[in-house]
Amino acid sequence: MILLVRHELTKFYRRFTPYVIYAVILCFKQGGGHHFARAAGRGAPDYEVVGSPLNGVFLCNMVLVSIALLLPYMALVAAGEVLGVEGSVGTLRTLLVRPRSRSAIWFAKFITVLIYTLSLCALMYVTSLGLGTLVFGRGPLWQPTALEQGSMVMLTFGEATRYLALSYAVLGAAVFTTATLAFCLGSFFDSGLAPGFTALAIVITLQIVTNLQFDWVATIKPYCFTSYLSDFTKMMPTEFDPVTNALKFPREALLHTLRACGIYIAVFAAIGLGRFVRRDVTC
Amino acid sequence: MSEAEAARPVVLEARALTKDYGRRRAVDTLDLRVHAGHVYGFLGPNGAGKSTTIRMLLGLIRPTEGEAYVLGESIRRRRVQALRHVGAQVETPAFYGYLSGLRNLRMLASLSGRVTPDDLDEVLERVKLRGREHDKVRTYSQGMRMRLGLAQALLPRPQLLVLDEPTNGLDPQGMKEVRDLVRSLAHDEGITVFLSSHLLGEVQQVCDRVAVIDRGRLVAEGDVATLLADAAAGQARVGCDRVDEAAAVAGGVEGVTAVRTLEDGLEVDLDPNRAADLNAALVAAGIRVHELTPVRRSLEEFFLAITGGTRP
Ligand SMILES: Nc1ncnc2c1ncn2[C@@H]1O[C@H](COP(=O)(O)OP(=O)(O)O)[C@@H](O)[C@H]1O
Ligand SMILES: [Mg+2]
Repeated sequence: MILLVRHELTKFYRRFTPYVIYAVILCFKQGGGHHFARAAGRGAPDYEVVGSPLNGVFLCNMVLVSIALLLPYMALVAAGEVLGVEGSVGTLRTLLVRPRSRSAIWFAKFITVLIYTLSLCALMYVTSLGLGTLVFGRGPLWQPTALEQGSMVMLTFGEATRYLALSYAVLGAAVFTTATLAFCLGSFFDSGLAPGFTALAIVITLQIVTNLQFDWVATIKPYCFTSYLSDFTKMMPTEFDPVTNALKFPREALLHTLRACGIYIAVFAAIGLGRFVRRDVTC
Repeated sequence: MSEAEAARPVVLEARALTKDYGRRRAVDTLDLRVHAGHVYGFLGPNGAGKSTTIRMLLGLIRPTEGEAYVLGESIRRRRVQALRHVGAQVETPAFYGYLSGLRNLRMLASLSGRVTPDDLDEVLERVKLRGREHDKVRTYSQGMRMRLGLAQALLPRPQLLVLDEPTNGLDPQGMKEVRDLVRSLAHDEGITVFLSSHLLGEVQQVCDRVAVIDRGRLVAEGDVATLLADAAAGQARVGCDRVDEAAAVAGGVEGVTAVRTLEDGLEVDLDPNRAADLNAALVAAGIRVHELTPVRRSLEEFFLAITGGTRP
């Protein structure tokens, strides 16, 4: 299995697409981050903040918000290629006459998708936090509270880095869910692009539908996997524990998101794997 | 097949294999038995169902009906075990074009077992890819890809080699090299080879036994020597004057098995090595020969012959 995963990582990272996507999100981050940083530097909030809010964790948070819009789409394209390309080039027939179970080969590819998705999030976290701290220095992160209009929660730099890491990880889980969809569609199309773009179409359609102002939309929205793409915003603590006076860990929200993503991942994977082990390799 | 040969184990077997694509039947209740040590030809025109059969034998596609056995294991129930000692190349070779030939080889071969750098060197040498193994496959010609396809099938040392039209896309020299390689693998190393082809001559040259498939059905099976003897017999067209006299002379030449008269010459079935004798005999009898050309039978005609003209 380790051998298979190593092969899949080699095949994946020797290709073009992953680097294009790394580059795209890094450029996007530059643009997005700067924009937010400027806006914040200029802005005059109706509460008084002592010193500049601009620092490493602030930038890291801004990048998180802006990159969350792009990351799922980018990851889809790369994930769709992992299986699809082997079908379109025909390497699948060479690979699948080797004495390895189809499910092992499938899992090796799936793990590659997981590693890539997490690496995208980790890359964004590390570069935005690192560069931000290097340029703007350390400092606390101010977050609006859930309780009172205009009141803020202050996270120390250390706390902020930990909660931001959690937020990036939760975004990663949601992005991995959509990437799983694209990857699993690769069992149905012998094409490099078709799985990614089909998944893209599904995700965008769902995002549009779930933003319509109908009652029935409100009912289905919590069950729709595209909704979890914004759940990372719920990972920042917004209250204090009244007893210990520590930041309140968003345990409920975290469990809910992870459980929901887990269920979707399991369903997509079951369908994709089921099809892959049974399918006729005619490419 | 001799008794000794028939006693050898069956390494590849199809039992009533059938494949339907929608309403089209690509392979129709096909039965095959390949004994160890043979070079087994699977002959048929384009679209006959050769690749579809090979895909079923290797577990790439599920038969609509029937079963396949490889090295004694059912491919449906124990695919991984069945393929442990098999090397295969199905249709045109496909590789990761952005990786080097060597890396492609190493990755594929390592899925079947341990390969040493020496093994890799030896195989590259055999398929004449030495010196190009570090180039990306994207830069390979069609012929080089075919060689790389052979190389991956040969790693690590299979007991059974399944090759789907292995000379497709090669130039005549390349074709000859592949045929020589197949013969040497079988005769020097005892590897059983199952090879499909749409070229009658190729099967004659390298195979011991042959199954002939047409439109998904098995139309003939047997020793190449007996089954194709008829097709192997040469035919020649002789352009000459005094046709009747010439026919009498030709009929007396050793190696000539049949003579038909045409308006301006003869059509003769003969041992191809005797063409010069025939010419000499005719000239000695004072007949003016202005043409002596070998006639090659097409695969189409061959099918007509062995199926008794039942092909519509
Ligand atoms: N994936 C497929 N879908 C539908 N028909 C197919 C498919 N693959 C092959 N066929 C049909 O099956 C028949 C046999 O094809 P094939 O096995 O490729 O022949 P060969 O290898 O002998 O040239 C042909 O009529 C072909 O059109
Ligand atoms: Mg074919």
